[in-house]
Amino acid sequence: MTTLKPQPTYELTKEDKRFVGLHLVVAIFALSVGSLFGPLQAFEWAGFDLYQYLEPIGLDDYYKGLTAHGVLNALVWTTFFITGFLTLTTIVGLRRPLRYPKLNQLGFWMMVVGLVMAAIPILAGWASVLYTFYPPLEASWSFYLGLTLVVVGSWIEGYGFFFTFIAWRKENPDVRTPFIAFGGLITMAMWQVATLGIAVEILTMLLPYSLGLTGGTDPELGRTFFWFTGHPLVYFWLLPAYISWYAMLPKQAGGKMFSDSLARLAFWLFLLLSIPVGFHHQFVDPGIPTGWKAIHASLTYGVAFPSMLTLFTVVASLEYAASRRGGKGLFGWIRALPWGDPSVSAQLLAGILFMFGGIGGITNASYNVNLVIHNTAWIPGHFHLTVATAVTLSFMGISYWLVPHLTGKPLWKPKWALVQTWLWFVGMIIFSNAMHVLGLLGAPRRTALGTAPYVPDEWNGHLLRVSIGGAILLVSVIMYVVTMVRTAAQKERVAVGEEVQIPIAESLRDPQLTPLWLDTWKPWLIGTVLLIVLAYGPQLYEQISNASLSSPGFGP
Amino acid sequence: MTEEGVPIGTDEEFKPRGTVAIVALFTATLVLLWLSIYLILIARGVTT
Amino acid sequence: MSDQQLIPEEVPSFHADNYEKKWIAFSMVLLVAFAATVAIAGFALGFQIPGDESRVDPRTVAETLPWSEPGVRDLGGGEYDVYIISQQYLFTPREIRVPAGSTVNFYVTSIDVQHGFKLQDTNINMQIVPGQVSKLTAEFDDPGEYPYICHEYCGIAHAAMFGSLIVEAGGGS
Repeated sequence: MTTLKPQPTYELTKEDKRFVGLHLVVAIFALSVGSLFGPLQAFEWAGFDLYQYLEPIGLDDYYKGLTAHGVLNALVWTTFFITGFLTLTTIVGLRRPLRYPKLNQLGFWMMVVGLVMAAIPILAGWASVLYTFYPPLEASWSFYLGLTLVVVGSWIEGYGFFFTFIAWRKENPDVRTPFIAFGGLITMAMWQVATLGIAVEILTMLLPYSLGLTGGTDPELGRTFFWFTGHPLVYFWLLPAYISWYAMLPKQAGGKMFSDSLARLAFWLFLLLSIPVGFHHQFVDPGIPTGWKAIHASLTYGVAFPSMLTLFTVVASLEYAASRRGGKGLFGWIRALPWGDPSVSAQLLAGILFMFGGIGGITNASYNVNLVIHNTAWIPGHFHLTVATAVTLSFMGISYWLVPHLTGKPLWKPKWALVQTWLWFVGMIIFSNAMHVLGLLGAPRRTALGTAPYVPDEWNGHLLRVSIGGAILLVSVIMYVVTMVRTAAQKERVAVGEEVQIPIAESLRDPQLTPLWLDTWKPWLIGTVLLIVLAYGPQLYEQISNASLSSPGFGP
Repeated sequence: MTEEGVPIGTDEEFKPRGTVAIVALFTATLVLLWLSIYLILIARGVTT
Repeated sequence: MSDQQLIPEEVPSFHADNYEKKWIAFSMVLLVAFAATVAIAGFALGFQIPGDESRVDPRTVAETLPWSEPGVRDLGGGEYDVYIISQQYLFTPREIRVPAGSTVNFYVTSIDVQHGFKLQDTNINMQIVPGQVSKLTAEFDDPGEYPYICHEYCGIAHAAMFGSLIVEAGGGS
């Protein structure tokens, strides 16, 4: 088959829409609570301590808030949005229902139970250990168990996607996997392998010692397990945004996917290269030889490559769309893109800031250059450009068509939504730039700087800018949540035939012409496992066989 | 929009020149910013 | 199956735009160039990161030498070892003095939770993990005061945790 017959988009059933919608409800709820703590932290840095007023509700502790902020925003908002969005891309991409819907539902509810189990100790102050929960700073066992359930629940939803794909493949033996489904499968496959690190850390180290079954842990081994997961975690966040950038945003801009081959290649490379790089988060750790750190640094440059591919392919897709809208010139075509569509502007702005996030990332990965910025404010400056903008602002943009599609209601006040995306962009530039500069001046991360005795006057202007950026971001996130709630709560439904469509871009070249090796799992999976064994095997073996459970737990 | 059943080939006339320009700007920014941090590393003194 | 020739367009093939192919090649060269530049700083100029130094038992480390007497040890020839113990919420010693022109080997460990050690305006930047010794060396040519701060969250009073390295004028031996 070489001709691509355009097909009407597959229609989600009412139950499908409800199920995806439930994911978004939890995700957006988590974001709205988690985002309240960010500004508290930013204001504290500038010397405005609002925590004192929150004493009556028990939220007067900077680090409790920081834990909640990290867990709710970086782990819960993301995981629930992603699993919900990928449920849609699997069903709609493969044009068939889930193979075992009850399996996916089991996964979802397990995640919800896990969320509650982790949230209670956080809010009660029994888990002020931040989202990285490095031992031997010890949290309540219920925190670790709750996180485990969230992760296992996400695995189960992944299995639901895999079974669905296998069923589809049986009926479509020679057809290229539709891209939006393909991207989701890669994401969940990578996630399954990646999360083995924290699964082992929690099940063999953190749960036993927090339950009093062992006398202590080996904290460096804990760090190695954590960062085995911690780096691919960022690709778990990014790849769903990339699915939209590659295969949905071009449609929204009036164009097509520029290169099916390269898009698929990028995703396979992420599967292969996202995991064997974790030591770049441990460059200044003791207990890990510099040789292994250098190997992971090189592999990290490798995983930068598919993002550089993505940059070209996505921008080219947009340029193509703009040219079809009459855009001309070397840069003038940018104006021809549909900036008035909040879903599009969100993702375009997210992409612009992501360029700086990527630049920072390559810097962080550069072995000894890391000495300049490790654990300084530069680091949250960096990841607010990536997870909090490239990913979060894109997810916000996606929800501007997704929530109307799921509810059958029009987006409430699109002009508000548009302003919201620009406020996020501007607020983030101010916030993130100030954080990067502070990092270069030596300011630490994860620290209530408002009370730190070593803060020189030179930092004050930047600390103030952090709080200004934070304030703008707060307004933006409130606008986002209000828009979402009011969209869903409206009485007015869209007329039949006028519903918001799921945007799916055709590709310029028939995907059937993409070679088979870009749609074949075995060799890539084998390569992925092999690379992990080579890059992690020897050092993990050394750390495990020499593990010394000599660190008892301490409270914060 | 494509008509029913018409083969989709590459859009031969489209050349992503603007993309090349943007990617060139990105590269220049990357190199400049990266080098500036590298120079800070050098300026702060050798660690062994 | 007829044996008519397939039009080349109908055979699956990897396809990339020519400009994109050039970008692919260029970005690979660029990444290699970054790696080479890093290698120059690392191996030609000697900018190294902490490695696998040694292990200790955090429950007993402070009871035996050298950790039982943290602080500066003069090794002669302008070289000094400094042993620093980290704990919630202080570094011991809180103040270190060395003469200008010294080469200082920093050895840092923790007797409770993870900490961080960052010596401002230098490249001394290390994770401090109980059970492990973090080691890095730097040279101090100019007199001055360098705060060292904890940059890994270690508990409620984490923001108060810092010390001070004072490089004194007058030169070492």
